[in-house]
Amino acid sequence: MARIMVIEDEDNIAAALDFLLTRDGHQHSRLATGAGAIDALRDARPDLVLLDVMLPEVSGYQIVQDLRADPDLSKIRVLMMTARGSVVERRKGLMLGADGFIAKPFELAELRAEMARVLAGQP
Amino acid sequence: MDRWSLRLRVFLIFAGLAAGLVLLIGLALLVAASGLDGQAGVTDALALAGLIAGLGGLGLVAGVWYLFDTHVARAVETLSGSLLTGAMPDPDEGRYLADLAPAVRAAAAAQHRAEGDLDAALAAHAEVSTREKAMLEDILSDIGAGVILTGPMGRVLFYNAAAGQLLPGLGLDRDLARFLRPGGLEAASARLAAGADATDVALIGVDGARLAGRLRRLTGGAGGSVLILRPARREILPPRAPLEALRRHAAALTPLLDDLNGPLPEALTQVIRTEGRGLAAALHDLEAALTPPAPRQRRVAAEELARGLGLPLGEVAPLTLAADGWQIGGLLTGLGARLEETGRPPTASVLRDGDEAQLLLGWTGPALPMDQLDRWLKDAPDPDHPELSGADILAAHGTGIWPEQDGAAGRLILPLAVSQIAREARPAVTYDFALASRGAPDTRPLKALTCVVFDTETTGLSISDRIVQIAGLRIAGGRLTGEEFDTLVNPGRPIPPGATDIHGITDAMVKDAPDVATALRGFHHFTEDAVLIAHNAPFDMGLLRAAEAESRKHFPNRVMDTVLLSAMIWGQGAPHSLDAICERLGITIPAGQRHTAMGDAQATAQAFLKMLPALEAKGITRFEHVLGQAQKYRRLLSDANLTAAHGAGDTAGA
Repeated sequence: MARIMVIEDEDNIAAALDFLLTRDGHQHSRLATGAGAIDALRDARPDLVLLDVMLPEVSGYQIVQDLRADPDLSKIRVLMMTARGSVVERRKGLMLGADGFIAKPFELAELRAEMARVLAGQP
Repeated sequence: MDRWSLRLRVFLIFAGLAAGLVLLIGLALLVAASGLDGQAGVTDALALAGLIAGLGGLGLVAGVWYLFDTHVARAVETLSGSLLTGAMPDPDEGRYLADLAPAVRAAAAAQHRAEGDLDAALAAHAEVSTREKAMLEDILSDIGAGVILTGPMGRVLFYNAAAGQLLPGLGLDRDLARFLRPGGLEAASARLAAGADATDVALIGVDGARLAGRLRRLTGGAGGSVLILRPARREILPPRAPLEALRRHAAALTPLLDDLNGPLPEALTQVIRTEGRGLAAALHDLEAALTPPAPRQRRVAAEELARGLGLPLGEVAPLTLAADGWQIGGLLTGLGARLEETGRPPTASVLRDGDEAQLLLGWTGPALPMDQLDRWLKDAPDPDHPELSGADILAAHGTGIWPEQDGAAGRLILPLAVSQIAREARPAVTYDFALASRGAPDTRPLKALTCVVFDTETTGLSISDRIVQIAGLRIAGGRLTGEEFDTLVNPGRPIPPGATDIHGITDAMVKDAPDVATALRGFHHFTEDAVLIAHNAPFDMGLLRAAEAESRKHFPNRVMDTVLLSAMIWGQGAPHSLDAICERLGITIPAGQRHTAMGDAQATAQAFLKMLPALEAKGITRFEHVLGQAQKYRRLLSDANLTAAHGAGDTAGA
């Protein structure tokens, strides 16, 4: 299926995502911090990044901003995840270049639908 | 004889002189003829001498009279008129009256000088009071609280925009108590009557809004009071429902989590799934309950905010923002300085984007990393308030800020809500302090009546037709107050193309408009206690009454018709269409406004105000006089008051 990178500092959420993505047959890896994320992405070239907003050292917003500023990496699709679910956070994420935005906690069905939409490149 | 003019009296004196002269010559001739005893030749000569003497004497008297009238009597009358009116007489006037004419001219010149000095003093004084008035208006329109001044009878003499927002429908000369639930205001007034100068009040608007403020007795003058109002501060209550839901779901899950070793029975899996979803939903509700909406009562003009930043300005849309000017202004000033320091000299602009505004700080230079912006937002823009960080300010306004980069052009975007108050565009302050001295509304003269001039646009001209637009404006104390009512109305049936050709209102325009019952309930509120004025009032009043069954609102107002008022001034023969009246009075209706309800109502209102002096000159100074005069013109048109009274009877009977 798809190649996915999870950038998430919460171990439990990362473990849950690991379980769900494996069961759905995706190939995936994980980063626990924002530092070095751009380099890791340049090496791994995943189809999709599941990107937490609140990361130590470098925030998810900064990562998506850097990703979109780099023509070499701009094709990587980004689905942001945040515990702050307000409308303006979502708008800010999308304006900075994320392809999707999902508020924690999310249900499996919701995550699957959003991932499928973003991977298909639908608006 | 005292009332006769000087010239008439002089003429009569000379006429008497001429008559006496003729009489004396006649008598002299008679005596001479009787002494001569019938000598024919002598008698004829006597008669001829008498005729010459008589005609000559008459001519002489007439000549002297003419000279006296021209140079004395008329000149004296003209000069005395000049003295009375202060007009400067012609230089030739009264040349034969010795020093009288120069004395009158000197007096007129002195009067002119005195009037000139008085005018200059008045103008200087008026300029000062206009400036002070403008300053007071600015102050009163700016304070966020509602301010309402009432006269001794509790009627509104002044209110500002914030008061109009807190008490919807508030209008000049209305009874303030009508806009509040009974109790609070009476209790506060009783405290003032008992001797307090001021008292705190807790009031409830008729729409249920909770308000708090202070009522102060006005000292001096005829009495009255000033009421300062704010929305009552809501007690901050913990969001109990979502918290209880969180506790319930956690309570169901926690004991299960300790025993997740073996395979789970289907029933337990179901429990975990349901409770987990409940947990997520409760969290969502909790967040919604804790997220503040945009601050409704705080507002700042975009222009004022932008100018205060001290940055070069780009486009600034004429908007009022639902924001705290000090907080947002401080945040943007701080961010502007940071941008400048980091080689991104910013230009500020404010754009409109639908229902919201976007505050922009744009620059030419490198992109701004999001994490750098987030670090800046952790600082407090105002060192005197270290507890309020930039991020807090954004959260309090329910908004955020982010950078955008397009090549070398970068900008920060901060969306903000546009203030509803400004969108309603009501005047900043509305007042007429003279209302306080005018007594009860029913007993006032015509020019002091509080009126609503209104007009309707309809689906057609028959009384069974329906309203598609209604607009009105209030007049108090002989001038427009700036209070307006204007709405489209959904007639509940298609608008015939012929009607659309006249007023330009289409089915699409009224699709989402209120129905006639809703619109007339609003209009009823707007017109309570006012005299209604319309051009051809029986038609418009007929429409209001025809809708009574739907709106459940009766209009018992007194009514005046500008058609009848025009007939009272110019007679029945003159044309009395709105266009004809406006042309006679020099009123121009702006292009495109004729046959809109508001345009026609404005023209009718101006016509009414301009007709008032002419009505007064004819002795029509009170509403009763208008009613009395209307009887005369009954044949011209039916009087809306008679039909209104008839309508009232019907409703009362029903």
